[in-house]
Amino acid sequence: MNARLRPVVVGLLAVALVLVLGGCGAAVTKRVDPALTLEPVAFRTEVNHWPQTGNNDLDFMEVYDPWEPMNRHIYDFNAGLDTYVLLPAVGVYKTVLPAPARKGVTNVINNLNELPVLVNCILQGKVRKGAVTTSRFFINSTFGLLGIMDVASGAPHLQRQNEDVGQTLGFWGVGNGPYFVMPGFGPSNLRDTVGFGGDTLLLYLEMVQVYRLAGVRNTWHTTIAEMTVRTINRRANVPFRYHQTGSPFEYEMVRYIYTKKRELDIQR
Amino acid sequence: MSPSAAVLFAAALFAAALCAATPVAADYRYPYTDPYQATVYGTPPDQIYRPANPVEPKLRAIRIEGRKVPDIFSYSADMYYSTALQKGEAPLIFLIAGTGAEHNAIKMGFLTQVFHDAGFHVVALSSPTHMNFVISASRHGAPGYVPHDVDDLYRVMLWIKEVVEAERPVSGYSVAGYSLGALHAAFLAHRDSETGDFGFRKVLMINPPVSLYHSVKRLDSWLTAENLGEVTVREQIESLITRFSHYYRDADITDLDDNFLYEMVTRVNMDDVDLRSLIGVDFRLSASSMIFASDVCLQAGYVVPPDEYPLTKGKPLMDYAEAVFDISFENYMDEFLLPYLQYLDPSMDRYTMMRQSSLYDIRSYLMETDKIMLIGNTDDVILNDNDLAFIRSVFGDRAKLYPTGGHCGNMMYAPFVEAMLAMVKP
Repeated sequence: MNARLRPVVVGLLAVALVLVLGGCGAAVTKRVDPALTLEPVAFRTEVNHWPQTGNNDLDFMEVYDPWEPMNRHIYDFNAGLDTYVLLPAVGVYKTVLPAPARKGVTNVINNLNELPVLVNCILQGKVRKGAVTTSRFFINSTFGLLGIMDVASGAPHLQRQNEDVGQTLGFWGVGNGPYFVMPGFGPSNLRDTVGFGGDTLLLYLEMVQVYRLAGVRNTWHTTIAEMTVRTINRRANVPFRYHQTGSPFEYEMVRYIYTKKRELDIQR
Repeated sequence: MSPSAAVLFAAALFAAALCAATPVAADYRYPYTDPYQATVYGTPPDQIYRPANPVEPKLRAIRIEGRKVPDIFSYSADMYYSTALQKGEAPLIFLIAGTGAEHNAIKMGFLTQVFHDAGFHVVALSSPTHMNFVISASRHGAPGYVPHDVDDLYRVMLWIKEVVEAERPVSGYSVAGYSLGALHAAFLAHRDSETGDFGFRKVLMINPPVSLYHSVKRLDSWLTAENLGEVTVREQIESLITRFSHYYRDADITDLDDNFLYEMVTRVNMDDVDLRSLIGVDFRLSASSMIFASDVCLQAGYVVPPDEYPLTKGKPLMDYAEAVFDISFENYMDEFLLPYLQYLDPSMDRYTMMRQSSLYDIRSYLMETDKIMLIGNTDDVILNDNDLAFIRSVFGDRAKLYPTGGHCGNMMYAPFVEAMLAMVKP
């Protein structure tokens, strides 16, 4: 086969596999019933509870979101991406790779992520968290066979820490900025989106060294493969499903929970 | 009598009274004796019943062609349900979710596993009060009136019967539900006894209300001064969020799994007032989703002013979320549901609506049939003494009541699950 075409063919095969094994959501049965078409009715309630300004029980849930109409469309786009690409890919991943192997993949990725976490611990002057992260990295890289096993988590005081550039910026007083739904990645805000760029850069610098140590020549293909595995692994480990809160206000809930969680993460 | 002897005597009396009230197997040691704790905490992870062979349920959908689904709900245009089928011939059991719950909610997923493991084809359905059901499958678009909701369920179940029978041999039908779904199950059995479409072999009611409206009034009351006293709803919710936030902030953990959530909920300090308000908030959120979905489907002008239609996908909804959160279920019933039912049928009145949504309406059927079994708890927080008396007098030996467990708190507790299975096993 033409060497140039090979990646394309492999890619197409992968997509076909996703479509065959993963399917696209639910198996749909169609029904026709003229009584069930939800035709407009003339009924109007006499009493109403239209929105009023001030004195609301839920106003603590409000988040600064000046780009909301755009964000809501991106949220919608992400939901579609999730249903038709990411979740089917996760389905194939789970079919092809047994659970213990997937656990190993998660562990290796988490172990590689310890270094950016460590950098952020240092940037915030968090000695204990930095020490825990350093110990974890050395223990798991050696006894954990290059991170395949997470032996460190067996110790109560060596739990994985969560720090990133967004939290570092927050720690030094940078505010959230406007809420922002990142295309493909989900809830964020201006500060955390900048932070995401910073973390990606740290990981890139780390991986260049890892590839050099491992003697990988074709770093471009390896990087693509790594990104793909990281994306699928990340999705496989997040139980969230779009439109499964059973609430028409899911966007508002996710926005509030994200913002609250980040606020607490910065304090941690 | 010495003080210590008096204490012993009192303890013996107390124990005797407990035994007399609760003829339950000795192996029933559900840990929470406070019904509100039971309802909120559920079953500790290490005491949950574990089916031997877990199954991955299949997601399915029904699409009613030509249905005018509002644009902002286009993601909910299909009615979703899940199935877990056996490989060969088997009896089929329909599961009906509780108020506001989806076909794959935690309790539903659990029941799906349990009944599949026991040899049933399982079909799990969302509650007609879940927004997806309202938007995609409800005929009148306003849930809470049981006869309409049961019509909708029955129609959908007939369709699903065709789907499953085209794939696997089915040796008979049963139906089970928890909470409001249990009340629906009883009405489905009654309907089936008239039409004979399914010929239900067994019907299992798990923690049913006796009267939908009496139970929701209780739940409503937990967000009023009756429960909260001087504290406002807003202050109460903020106080709860602060407590949970502090627990999370101080916990040295990154992966938030079910065990973490269980530990958080059980370790955060909450008294009965807090627990009741938490149940009340949860119920209010379910009701909010349902009411908003109905209002938009019918454009009834209840929450969304008529001149704000059409709602587009980019439209911020926070103002509506805040407005609809302040509506109690009873408000909805009096201000929306009853007038709407009267619009559909001018002879409808409040008493009829309430009666037709309670087990009193099918009392004689429930007394004479022997296929309906009931399992629940005497300390269920949605039942009062009259409801318990009704259950005992109508179901007699067919009701198995545990002394503790609150509302569905012990539903995953192994002895409860085993009793449940024994009641419907072929």
